[in-house]
Amino acid sequence: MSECASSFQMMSFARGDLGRSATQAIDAHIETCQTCAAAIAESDVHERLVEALRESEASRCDNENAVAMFEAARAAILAALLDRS
Amino acid sequence: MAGRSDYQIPEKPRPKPEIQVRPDEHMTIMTRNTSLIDLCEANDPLAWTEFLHRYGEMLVSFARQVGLSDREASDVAKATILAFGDALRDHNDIAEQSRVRIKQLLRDIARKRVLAVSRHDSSDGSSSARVWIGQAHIGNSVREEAMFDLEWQRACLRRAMDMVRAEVGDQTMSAFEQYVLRRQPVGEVAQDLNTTPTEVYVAKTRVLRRIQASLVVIQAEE
Ligand SMILES: [Zn+2]
Repeated sequence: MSECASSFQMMSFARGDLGRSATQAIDAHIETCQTCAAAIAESDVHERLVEALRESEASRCDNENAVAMFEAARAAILAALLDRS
Repeated sequence: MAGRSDYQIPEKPRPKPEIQVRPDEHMTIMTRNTSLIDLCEANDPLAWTEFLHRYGEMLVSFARQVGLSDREASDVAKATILAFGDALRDHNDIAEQSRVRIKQLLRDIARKRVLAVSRHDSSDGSSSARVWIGQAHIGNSVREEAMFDLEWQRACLRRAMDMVRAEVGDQTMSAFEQYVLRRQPVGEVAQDLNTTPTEVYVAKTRVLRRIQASLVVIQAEE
């Protein structure tokens, strides 16, 4: 695709609603067109997913110490699990 | 030691599935996740390693969320996984039912372990369970289940991220993490990674599309 896609096509692409050839065409187009690449990336199609990912990362920071303690015991837990059969 | 299992399931003798896996098949099977629990049941070290990776952090996070201290949360996660291992070994039908029951099993065992720790902690003042007494959700089944579900979803997201990380290049993943997760301005990310804003935008779109596809795979396993 050498020309820019319509905004409807771009949002359909972002949602994964387009067919394979149309998807490939837009995928190739956005590699060289900053306007379309930005329009798709800055749309709110994936807003909920992005928020969930950010929350997940934030909670990871909150539990860093506890997870580190668990990780320190990982080898012993694995050994205990394998020893129980 | 059947008595070590927290989760009691009526005995239903069934033939143990025969699983023979060559070492080079592990990764394929892990990726497809057709039988993680079958492989754990067969005491496969790589399967248990994957199990710890997949569920350890979420169990720790769940225990922290309901109000336990770092140390207690780590201990609860460890005890939950060992009890799950016991339950798996003692009851062959768990593997067959795992697709629908693994989450419920882990949740029930984890809740019992949290309760046991919070009851045991009564005098030394070290537990955040007491510090948080007004906010702790121990024993509130609705809140606990909601918190477990939230941690489960977060674990699915982290797993989807791991899957995508293995598929895309480091540059793409770094661009995604900086631009999307840390909300750095696109120009700053591009400069930092010695690339163009267009590539940063494309990285966001591609990674999100792949995460969505991975989540479909992960949710189909549940
Ligand atoms: Zn364009």
